[in-house]
Amino acid sequence: MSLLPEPSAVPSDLELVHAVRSGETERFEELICRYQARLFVMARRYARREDEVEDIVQEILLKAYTRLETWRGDAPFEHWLMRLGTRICYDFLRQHQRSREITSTELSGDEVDWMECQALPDGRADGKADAARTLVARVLDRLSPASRLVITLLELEDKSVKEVAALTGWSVPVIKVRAFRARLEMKRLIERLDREKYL
Amino acid sequence: MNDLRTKLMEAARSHSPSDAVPIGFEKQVMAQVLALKSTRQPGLLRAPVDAWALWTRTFLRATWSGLGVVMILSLGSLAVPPSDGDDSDYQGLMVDSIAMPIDETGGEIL
Repeated sequence: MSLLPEPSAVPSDLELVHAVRSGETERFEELICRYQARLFVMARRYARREDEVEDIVQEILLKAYTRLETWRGDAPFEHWLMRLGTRICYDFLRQHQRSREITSTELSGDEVDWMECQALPDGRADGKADAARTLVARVLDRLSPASRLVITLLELEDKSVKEVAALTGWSVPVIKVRAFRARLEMKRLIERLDREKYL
Repeated sequence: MNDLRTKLMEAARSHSPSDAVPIGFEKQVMAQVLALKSTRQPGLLRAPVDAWALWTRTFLRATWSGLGVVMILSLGSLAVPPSDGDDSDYQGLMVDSIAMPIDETGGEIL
């Protein structure tokens, strides 16, 4: 009796991986089609330029191919791929670490308006959602790589600490400490922007 | 300030990045995969290295080598005949050499 699963209409990840391992390399394309959209979402959280996003996703997929043998099938393929992707995104952040300095002169009029609206009692700035998103992107760009990764996973993707630990390979206490530092770092950046906009 | 940070994060959460994939991206990656396969075929999808087994194997090799050296040295020490207990000659020679008067004539033997 063969240990390989029975072929079905829609092959499972396990079947596809077995096929690629046994030499049918072209079947890796099915795995790419299955997961590339999710990988693009992930990469776009860390890189802004589209050519950088494509490079990240390509690197994740190539590394997945070369390390396919290390997937033992005890966890879903998607989890394994996302873990690999998270590590590559973190490496990208470390390689492209930008200057931590940020000044209010870099902000557009809409971004400053959004911050001012938040200071009002009702704090509404519905028409300036794009400005808020750009402002968040600017602030996140200035965080350290570890802080950015933790904030993105915990606060933007709503993952639990345990999930973040599984994705990053860091221990739960390390993630808690990094999350605390990241929030502090972010608060300081926003404070500075808020102070400077009145100068 | 925490409130402002929360509002910023809410704004960011409300807008998930696009999942759009460039047309033909999978073909582009497959071309890279096939190129990689043709250049690195023999070792590309080899079995994963079991780090624990590798460490154990190296450790055992080192242990056996160490034991071998110890055995050889032990046998060697057994093969050498014990000294005849004439340690006092050696001691006397050392004491004499220290107690020898220093020659102040520049080392010439008179």
